[in-house]
Amino acid sequence: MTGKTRSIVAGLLIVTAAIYLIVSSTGNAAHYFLTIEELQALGGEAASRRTTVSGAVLGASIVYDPAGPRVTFTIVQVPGDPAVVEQAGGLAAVLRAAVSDPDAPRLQVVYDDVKPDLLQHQAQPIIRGRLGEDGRFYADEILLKCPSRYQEGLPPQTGAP
Amino acid sequence: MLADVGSVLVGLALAAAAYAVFATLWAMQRRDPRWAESAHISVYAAAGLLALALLFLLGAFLGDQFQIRYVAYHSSRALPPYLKAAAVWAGQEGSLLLWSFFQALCAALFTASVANRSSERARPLFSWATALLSLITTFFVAVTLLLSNPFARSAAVLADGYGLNPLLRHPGMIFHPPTLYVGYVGLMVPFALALAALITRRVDDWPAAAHPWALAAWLFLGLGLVLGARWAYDVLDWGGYWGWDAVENAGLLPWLTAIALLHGVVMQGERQGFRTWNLLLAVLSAVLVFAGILITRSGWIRSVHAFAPSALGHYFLAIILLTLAGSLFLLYSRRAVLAAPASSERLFSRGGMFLLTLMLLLTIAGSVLAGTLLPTLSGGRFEADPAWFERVTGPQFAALVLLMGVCPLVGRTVGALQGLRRWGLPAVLGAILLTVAAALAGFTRAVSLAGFAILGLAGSTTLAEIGRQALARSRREGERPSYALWHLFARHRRRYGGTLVHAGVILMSLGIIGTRTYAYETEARLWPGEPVEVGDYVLLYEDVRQEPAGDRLSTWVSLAVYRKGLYLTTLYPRLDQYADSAQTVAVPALRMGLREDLHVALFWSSEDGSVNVKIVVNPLMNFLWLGSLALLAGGMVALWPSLAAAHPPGQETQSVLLRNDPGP
Repeated sequence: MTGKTRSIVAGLLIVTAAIYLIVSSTGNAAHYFLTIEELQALGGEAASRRTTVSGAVLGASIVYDPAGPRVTFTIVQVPGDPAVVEQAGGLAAVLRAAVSDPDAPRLQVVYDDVKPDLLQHQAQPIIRGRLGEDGRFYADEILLKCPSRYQEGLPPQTGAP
Repeated sequence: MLADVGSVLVGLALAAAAYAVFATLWAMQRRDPRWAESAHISVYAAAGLLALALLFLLGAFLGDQFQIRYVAYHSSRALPPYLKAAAVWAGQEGSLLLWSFFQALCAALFTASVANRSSERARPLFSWATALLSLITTFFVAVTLLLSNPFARSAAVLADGYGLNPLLRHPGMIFHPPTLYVGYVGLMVPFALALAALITRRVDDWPAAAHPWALAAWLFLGLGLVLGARWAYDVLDWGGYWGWDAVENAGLLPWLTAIALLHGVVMQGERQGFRTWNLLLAVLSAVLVFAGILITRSGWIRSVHAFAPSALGHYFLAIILLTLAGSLFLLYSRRAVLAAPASSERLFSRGGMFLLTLMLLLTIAGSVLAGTLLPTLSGGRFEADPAWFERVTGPQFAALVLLMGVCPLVGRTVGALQGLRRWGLPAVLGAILLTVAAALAGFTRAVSLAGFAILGLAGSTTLAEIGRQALARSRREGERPSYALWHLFARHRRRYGGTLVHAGVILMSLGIIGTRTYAYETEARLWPGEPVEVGDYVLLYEDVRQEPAGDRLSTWVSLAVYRKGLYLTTLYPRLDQYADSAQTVAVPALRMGLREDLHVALFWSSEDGSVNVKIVVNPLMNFLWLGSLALLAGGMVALWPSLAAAHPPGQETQSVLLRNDPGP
């Protein structure tokens, strides 16, 4: 084997290893988020592992007890497929429709932590945790997307290119 | 009035930049120095006009000109003047203007640096590069003026502005974005030179000219990333420094390809290989800068830091596709020129090691790009969290540091593994020593020990290389060893700067291993007089105070810190409530130590005197900052001679300078 082929083989090995790392980690550590319907359809299976769920927040349902601290609130089903969201008039319209639909599937969330500032009516948090036996979702992490504009929300951590 | 003058200035700059493109090309066509002169003047004029426009915007901020929409949204009367100045680049429009100015300034500096000293042979290369740089300036100024004009008027005249986001009211945030922008525009010079080289078919002259620019860009990007990390650590309440957010990754990606480019350029200088690699890397760096703009400014990519969605996305997507298609076409059509001279390069040779380094840097960049784009491309059904990035890039970074350690074992000349006998022993000793020391210090997890072993190996070969050469010089010249070391650094700045950068990387890796594998945190609700235990530490909540400070109300908590029963210090984390934006910002308190940092953030303070705090212990954190400093210092050392060499009579001298690395 000449030096050149050996270099090419070594290069291919590196690329293969990198692709393997990406593919295998995407199966393992990546979080797929479920809609409330999907989560509830999973039933017992969902209770056995950590999952990620998302939906629209009902502002009136937010109860905060700083003594815990504990926040409880209810989220309402929002379609997960971006094409459906687009068709229904965009995310803002979908969120607005969801919170005023009394028949949409709902999920109560319990979060033993300080109430995030951006947890408001019609926000769409991404919530990680476990589905409890009691049908409530016990969150250990809540991610909130900045509602409108960067200037009013979170800071740019690195400069904006 | 200010608004109109500002818009006119930007419009004139657009005309000047567009004219510069035309005049440069026409001067080449006609071989007429008067046209060339005119082209140069218009390049400088574009930079000057944009500088004036920036001054006008600054004036509008300082003079509270709220009839300008951008000023109204990013400032208020109560804001201190230095923050009004920083607010110039706090949002989309102003930061694009600043970017355009830097781009024009970069084109002007490049033009000035090559105008008087280029030989007849090198002139077409530099002329094409000037034209391409002006074309890029034209694009940025056009986007600023037509799509995102900072001088646009408000619909209604406001009595006061909306104020600046409190989190941006920090000195770190004043310097961090401009530093990154300088780095980004700096990468446009290697890109323009690479394309110019392909166009003129002179593929061996450009790397020497591109090197100082790539190095400076790399240095500024690195400084920007470090400033951002430090700002996050000092100002945000999570106790971390890097979150793998899309916008952070946008800064990291071109930095990685710039590292690859710098290594490739060294190799092309040494042995005329890596031609296609270097051209590709220069193009890729520029494409990743544009991609970064797309990520940050289009609103298409999910990120907590991105600007508001805007119509800019389409234009930057177009420029990315155009750049890629054009560059690949040029590469393909010039493939005959690119064919490298037949090499007898072995894998276990310096060239082979460099090749693997480039590949690893590219796979790391590819992985980070995949993690950044996949959440969007998969329609939000897939998420790459920090754990994903760590799992994917961790082993690749480890392999990269290992390569860095193995490289000195491989001779500079062709002989495979000829350094093994000389440096094998220190390498193994270093690996064992650091691993044992780390284990004794209590860092005993298997993954981290493997990491420490790699770092020990890389560290000892790096040190052994410097030490051996310093001693050799000291024997040869009869100097004291410390003197000999100083001389080596002064004489061969690029090489030893590089070594210092490597040492910095090793120190940073120590910090990264420490903080990523051993950090722990606690959140607690405390009443006055109540202690909380975190590892070896006990924090006693003593007191809470409230006082107004300027435009905000500050709530301070004093926590006495004890370790193993001994009083260490008292920390004062605080909460700032801003009146104008109804926003609350937690300002953490920090106790720094070489072994570990104690980071305390105040989350909540109740009327009943109870408080919620988050306490994070970050082991080996300061190695990360020390390493960053070494890395940046190394970059500066390496950059120095290029600046000094910017005035030699001919281009040839400089390429010789680049190849005069001493053998071992």
